Amino acid sequence: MSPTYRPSASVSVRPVDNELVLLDGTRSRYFVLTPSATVVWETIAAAGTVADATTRLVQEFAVDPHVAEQDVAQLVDDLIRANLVEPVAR
Amino acid sequence: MSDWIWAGVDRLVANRGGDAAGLRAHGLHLLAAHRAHRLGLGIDEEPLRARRLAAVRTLAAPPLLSRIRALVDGPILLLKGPEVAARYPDPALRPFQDLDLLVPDPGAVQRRLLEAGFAPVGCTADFARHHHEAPLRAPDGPLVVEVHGAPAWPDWGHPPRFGDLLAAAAASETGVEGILAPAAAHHALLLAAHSWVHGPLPRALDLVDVAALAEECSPGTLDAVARLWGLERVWATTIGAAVSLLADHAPLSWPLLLWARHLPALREPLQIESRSARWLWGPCWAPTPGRAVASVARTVGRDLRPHPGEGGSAKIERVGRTLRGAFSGRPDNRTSTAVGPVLATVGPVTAVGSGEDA
Repeated sequence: MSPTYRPSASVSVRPVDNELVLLDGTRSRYFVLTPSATVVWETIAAAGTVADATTRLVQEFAVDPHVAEQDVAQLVDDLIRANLVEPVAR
Repeated sequence: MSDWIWAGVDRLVANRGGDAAGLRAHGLHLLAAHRAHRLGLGIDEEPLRARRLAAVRTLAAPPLLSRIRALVDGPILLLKGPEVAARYPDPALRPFQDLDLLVPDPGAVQRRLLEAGFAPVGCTADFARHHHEAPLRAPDGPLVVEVHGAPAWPDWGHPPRFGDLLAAAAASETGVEGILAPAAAHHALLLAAHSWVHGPLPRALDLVDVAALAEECSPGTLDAVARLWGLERVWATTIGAAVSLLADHAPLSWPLLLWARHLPALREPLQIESRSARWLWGPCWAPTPGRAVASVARTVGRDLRPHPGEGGSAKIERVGRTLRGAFSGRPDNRTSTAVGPVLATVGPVTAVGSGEDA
């Protein structure tokens, strides 16, 4: 089963054109997600799995599925390390 | 309802698309960048960075207001900034860097915020004669807080009482519980007065703000408030300039043809234009000739008087600079700091990305 995550409660988001600006209210840090990372974030925030995010990335950005899988895994790791998302227990 | 305003802004920025300094001086750079994106035109890194920063400030405002609400007793009216931005097509398209709070006891609120870790910005002595307390930087935040006991007002009149504004106030458009905002008609007039004191008619953004708030009111209501507050001429000129600037095929009003030509051109005002507006045209909108003359004398005197703690030679140098500048054709770049470089106080922009465009 592909893991799922949800945005941390302290994170608020705002789209800026194709990007997404994230503010971590607890730590007063902000982040900018690129357009492709925004697609991943949107999928995760809508309760999609990591696999769903990979599929969407492949469809919308025409990237190699293997590369997309690695990129999504790396992005999710970055988001967890930055406390922007947390795993959803199943 | 307010479509004509945004169509007008579009026309305005389309004519000055490449003039980044002018767009920024008039506070329209975010709307211009958004328009460029909408049309598929390229956006430089600087406007994009400004848009991100504006988004961060938009996100940061509600939690900061909640925090202030929890710290401070008594009513709080939110002026300008995010309250007006809520009327924009996207609140993050209206630049702001501070939260202007109108409260009945500004000294007590200022002390409470200082105790809670808010830090003064710049030299507090500079604000001894100002209409608000020294600005405070919120801890770990991208926003500055300004506490006001009264709105900025032309020196020939008296600002409305806090109680009168409070009686008509509504819940803030930011949605923060316990934060209020002036009624739209009051707010439109307060913005017109504020802009008049700082200009008059200094920036296109001020006119967009006034027009956006005025859209929520009947002209009769606005005129009645203007009459009540002794601002008939200021209001008529301000709303006339807004319509003239933004409405399709509207002829330019005479201030825009004469002493506020920087507005339709979307360029920084020349120093001679700024000074003549501040020293001459602004005071001359007083209700009577006597008050206008007195206001001219007070305004010029205020600009040339020593600042608190200012030594004799510093004063002479500043006055000389002011007088030389008043007659020079150089741009007055006082308005070009509408968005300050507060990025570092927020934290690094970490581009968490993936894929080919990462």
